[in-house]
Amino acid sequence: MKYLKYILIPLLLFIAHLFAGTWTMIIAWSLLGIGLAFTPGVKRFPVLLITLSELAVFACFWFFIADVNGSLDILARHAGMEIFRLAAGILLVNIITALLCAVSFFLLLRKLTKR
Amino acid sequence: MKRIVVIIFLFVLTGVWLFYTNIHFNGINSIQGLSNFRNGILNASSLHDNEAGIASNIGASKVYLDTLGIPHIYGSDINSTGYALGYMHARDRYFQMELLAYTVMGRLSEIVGEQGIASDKHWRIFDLEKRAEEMLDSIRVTAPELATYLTAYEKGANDYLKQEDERQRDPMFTIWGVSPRPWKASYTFLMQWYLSHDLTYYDDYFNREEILEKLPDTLRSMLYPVHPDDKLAIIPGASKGHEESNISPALVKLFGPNDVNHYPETPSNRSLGSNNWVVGGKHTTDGQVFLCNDLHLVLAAPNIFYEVALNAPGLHAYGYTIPGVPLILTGHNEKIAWGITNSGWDVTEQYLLKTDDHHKDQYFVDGKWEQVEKKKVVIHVKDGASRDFTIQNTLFGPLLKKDSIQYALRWHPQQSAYAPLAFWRMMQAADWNGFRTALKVYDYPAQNFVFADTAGDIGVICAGKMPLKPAGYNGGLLDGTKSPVEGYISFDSLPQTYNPEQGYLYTANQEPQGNNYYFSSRWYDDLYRPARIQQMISSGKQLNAEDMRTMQLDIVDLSVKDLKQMLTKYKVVVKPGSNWDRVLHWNGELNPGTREAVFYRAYLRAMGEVGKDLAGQLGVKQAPTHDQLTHFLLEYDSVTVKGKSIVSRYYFNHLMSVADSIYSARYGDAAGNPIPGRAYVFSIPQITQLPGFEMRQTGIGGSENTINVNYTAHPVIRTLIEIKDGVIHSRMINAVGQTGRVNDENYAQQLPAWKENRLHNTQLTRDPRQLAAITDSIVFSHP
Repeated sequence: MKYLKYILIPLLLFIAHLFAGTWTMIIAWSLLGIGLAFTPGVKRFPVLLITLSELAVFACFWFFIADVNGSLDILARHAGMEIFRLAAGILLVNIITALLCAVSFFLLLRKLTKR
Repeated sequence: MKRIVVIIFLFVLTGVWLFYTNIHFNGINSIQGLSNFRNGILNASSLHDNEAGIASNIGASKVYLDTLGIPHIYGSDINSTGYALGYMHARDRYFQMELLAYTVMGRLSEIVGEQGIASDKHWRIFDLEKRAEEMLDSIRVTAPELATYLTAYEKGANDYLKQEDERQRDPMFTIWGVSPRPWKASYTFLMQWYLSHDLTYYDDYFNREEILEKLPDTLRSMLYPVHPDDKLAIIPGASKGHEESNISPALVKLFGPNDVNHYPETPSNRSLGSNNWVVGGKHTTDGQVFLCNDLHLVLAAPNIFYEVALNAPGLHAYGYTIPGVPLILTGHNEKIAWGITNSGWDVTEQYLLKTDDHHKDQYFVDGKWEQVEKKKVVIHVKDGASRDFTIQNTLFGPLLKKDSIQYALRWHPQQSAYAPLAFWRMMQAADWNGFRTALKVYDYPAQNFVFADTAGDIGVICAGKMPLKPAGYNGGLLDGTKSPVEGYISFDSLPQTYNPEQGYLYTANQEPQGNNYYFSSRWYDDLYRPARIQQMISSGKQLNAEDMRTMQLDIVDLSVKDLKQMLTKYKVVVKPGSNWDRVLHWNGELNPGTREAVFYRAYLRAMGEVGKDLAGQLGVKQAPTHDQLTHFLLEYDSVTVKGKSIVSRYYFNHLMSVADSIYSARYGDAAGNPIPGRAYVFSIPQITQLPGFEMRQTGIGGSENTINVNYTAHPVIRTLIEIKDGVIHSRMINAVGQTGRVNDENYAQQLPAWKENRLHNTQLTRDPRQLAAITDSIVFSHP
């Protein structure tokens, strides 16, 4: 049970990414920070966990959902960039947003509840 | 305390990050929007074809797609073909269709945001959204079968949008952060207005007025001649028409002798045009007829043309449509072939109005003061506040201002849009009479239609509605104190010929001439392309298909010959091995790898610079065109203006000096050799000028004077049609690709072949089993 959250977080993020638009996703990441703030046993903000979770979710999308060869590769080529750069850009924006939203609310809640 | 500061800092940082990553820069979707897994770029998917059994309540049809993505449509009737074409246009080009339609409606800001406002303010004055509805109503009465066809097309387009999987939507909608809106049958007329505007909307009448008023007749006929002296008219053997207009004075008075022309203008390219030619059996190897057409427009991806084969009982046609217009504009059916070039007729008029402070919102016409009509309109802006502005109308048309001068704009294409009806009839025509009948209703933009049929006949009709002008009119402003001249040149009076004795015809935007009407908005321009086409066709060689293909690629600039004559006339002593010496021994072929061609690009630029200097010397804003300046330098030695001498030798020396400077500064290295990649380079932008999506092209020769135009405009499509033994066979090429989807292979698939004019064989067959290279099909079933 101790490590359940490590599985739950990427799973919840995956589900959120499946259905959420831009602002809904920002709310979801903020809720993740709030949730983590109230989770027993979480003493410090899990930067690595969230980063790896986003990476894992992105990988799932990239390999199982996105039309990489039939669409994204061609799009990247016509945009004059390597597909790797396109993927890295998308991943980076999502990781930074996830971390910023989650950590802000995590620390705020911890401060307010004096935990 | 420290922790509070950290938390505040993190919230500020998050806020700043979210703010900047959610901004729509220049109307483009935000970084967050594009990076979102569900709605962003990651979600874009390729098209899945083999779509079987799509229900259509119009009629059954089947679309076969070949390896280039070209649809071959077979319908149970003509309307089911229209339905399938609507479906295909929407599938491949809906973003482009919507973008162009919304541009013409003056609603571009709803798609691209703030940057569309200027365009919307310009287009809204014509009120074309409403006018399009009226046109459709009119067509419902005059040609109900076309109205039904357009409605079937609308249904096909909208059915595609309804059933489209969001993931398979054109990524441009994601990138611009908008969703497609339904198509309307009336939007087809908007596309005609878009092209009419592109090809025949000009805004340099104030500059022309200045020339007409300030320069004496003799000087004007030397430096700003209107009509060329040679006989390269479209109609063979035509006498030079409208003789008096080279020296006609201005019709109004705006400029004093020392007034400075500070009136703004909208840049326009009057030289946007095309080539077409038709060569009869007596000039060809096997007695076959060739009809070739290449359309020169500003090249963007996707380009405006869409290739298709349309088959239904009573209709078997192949060629290029425009997404939004379900009709073949250039191509052929089983009996006739046709091609188009822009006529560039003067259908824009600017009337100088008489107003004064005592008559607010009024203008003086026909001896009395008339009230200006006012109408408020709202421009809705994506991600921004709506803008209100007032449109003012006069009996001439919209009232506009340049600085403090009020004028009325009468843009004739605003009045009607019957080109779809003409193309509708042309697709189904079987001979010259049918072709002529179709063109009787053609209005805008005026085009030179060449014709050939399976009987070996050839012809040309310069078709369109050409408004009658007041006597002596020569391209300046018109008098707004009198009612406008009403009426148009009758169809039978338009320049046209059938089976001319010379056995060939060609048009390259030159003047039609051959009668006494004023047509052209051009002043002595585009003279070298027609001359080169004529030279190649009339060379005496029996021509074959390969000759035609090579002609389309021709990059010999005949203006080089004029430069050589100038070097001889001015007895220039050229240094052996210098660029000028090389020019003297050069055939004028603008092969981008050669020093001569690169230097000639510098020379052509220098012509522009020297023309401006000369205009400055004359105290006018508009510089003589390349052709006008060349004519002056070749034909005249000097002219005196207001006591000052303009000596052609001085300007030729100046020209040489500027050309040398431009070459050294822009194109040449220290040793005088051309630096690769500096000249003959251009980019093909994505249609919305999306950064990063431009395709840089190098190594393509040609100039504005060559058959293969490659400067500012380019041959966006080419057709080569051969008629032999009563059968029409054609080859075509699109400069970029079939689809507008940037995530599809067909987006730029034809570009490599276009560069070398490797045209693909087209397939027009009644039996779909004979189609080759079919990769997919889509079936529309009728319950």
